[in-house]
Amino acid sequence: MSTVLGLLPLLVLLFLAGTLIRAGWQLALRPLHPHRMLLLSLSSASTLAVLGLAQLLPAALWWVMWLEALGLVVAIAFAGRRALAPADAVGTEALPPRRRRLLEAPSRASLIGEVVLVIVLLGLAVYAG
Amino acid sequence: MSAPTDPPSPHGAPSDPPPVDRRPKPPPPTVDRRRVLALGGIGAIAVLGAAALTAPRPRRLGEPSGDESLTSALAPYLAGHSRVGIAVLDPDVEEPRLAGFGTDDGEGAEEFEIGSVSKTFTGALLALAIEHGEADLSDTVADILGEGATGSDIADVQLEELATHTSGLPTIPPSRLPLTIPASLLRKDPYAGRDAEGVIADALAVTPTGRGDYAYSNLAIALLGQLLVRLVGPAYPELLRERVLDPLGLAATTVPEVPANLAPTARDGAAVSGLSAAPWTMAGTAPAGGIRSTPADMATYLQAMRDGTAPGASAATEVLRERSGTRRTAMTWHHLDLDGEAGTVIWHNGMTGGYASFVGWNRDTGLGVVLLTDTALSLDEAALAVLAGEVER
Repeated sequence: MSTVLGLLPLLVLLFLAGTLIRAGWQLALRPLHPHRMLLLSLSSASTLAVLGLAQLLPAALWWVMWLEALGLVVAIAFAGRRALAPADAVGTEALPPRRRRLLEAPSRASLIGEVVLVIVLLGLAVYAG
Repeated sequence: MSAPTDPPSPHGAPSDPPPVDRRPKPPPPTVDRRRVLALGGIGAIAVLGAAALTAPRPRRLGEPSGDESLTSALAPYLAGHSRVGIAVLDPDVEEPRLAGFGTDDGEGAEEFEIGSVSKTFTGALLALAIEHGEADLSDTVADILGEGATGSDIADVQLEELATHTSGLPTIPPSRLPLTIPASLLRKDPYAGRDAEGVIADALAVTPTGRGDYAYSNLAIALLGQLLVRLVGPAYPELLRERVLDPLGLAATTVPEVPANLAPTARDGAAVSGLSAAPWTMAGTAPAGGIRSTPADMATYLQAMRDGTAPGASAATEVLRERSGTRRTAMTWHHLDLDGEAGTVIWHNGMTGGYASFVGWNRDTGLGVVLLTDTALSLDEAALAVLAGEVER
């Protein structure tokens, strides 16, 4: 049990890093609805904030967090560029449902929830100092 | 409902070509350029904001000052630290050697949180109370609290068990855990807001587990300190000043208990991530970790403890429990036999949200060391290397 607890920070770190990589991958490579792009960006910001607040990275690895953030910003730029390109109306039916869903707008509730979560986490980060 | 369509040819024979749709194709859906840019911009700002507010901060060791041979010998052990106070007690030399990194003068006058090294002061108060006949190691919680302890599972816990971390009390009372976790995440004092009476009430509500086995407990030492206050009189800060700090002349050593009592010059420390961490004044738990001091004061304290001239010096040397072949516990102090013939170290370390500390001496060589840092990063390796004689100083 104590071994599991000792490994918990590492497991949480790996899970959060995996979440960030998946979001970055989708932003960079998948056609997205603009609202879906925003949702993924905000959830990545929340994940980064949790990673930082939980202090899962030591000071010596300060650059890892910035590398992740810069990678995500580049991925958001790719997603925006793709969203601005003329939509290919033909062929979306051929996409698997999961990828087709990325072209649809997320629910308003999930978008609002993500905005609130980011604001709360950044507020906590400011409060923590 | 969709219109019926012709069935496919059963033998794959070519069927009639589908009719050509001559209606004009709808234009591709237009994308509002401004909207996409705005949404992408918001997302990017959120990501960069999260990184800016929560990313670890690199720590760089401050400029060395004071004893040059000490700073050059210890620098390799202090990666990740920033402001460090150092005092070394050489055997047969009266004056401690003082040095520092990032300290203004290298004279050992900078204040640090000493964290759990505070427990050794509580141990000294216990030893003094025993010397004065005010307490006995076999006194129980019920002996001191009287009816206040009725019905508690720790009523028969003895002062000796509290002082040696064998009482079965957890380090944090279970009732406080839900508040401790967010405080740790927000880098605030997790013990704030619980005064002496609260600490006693928390301890009385605990059902001890593993009694008799060593289990490091802040709650046990905090309770020990507050029981001594009940026995002997004034509040913990005054009791400590009267019995230990003033006799030793430790004017720069304080027990603020609450943030309002901090000196205006008190600085925040840094968590292991390098982010700033609020001071830990610890309220009623101060006997377990709420003291602030300077390298110079701690050198004076350690020297008097080593030489047996400090009030309550027997707290460090009187072994009460054997933990293993190489580890023993005195009244809050730890004894460790170093590998080989390097001797026995009498020591205590500490860590708060933003500080770490180590004080100890080698009983066989007389060499002593005080290390204080404003980063919550252990100093044990550096200190034990000094005490084992592995550092060319």
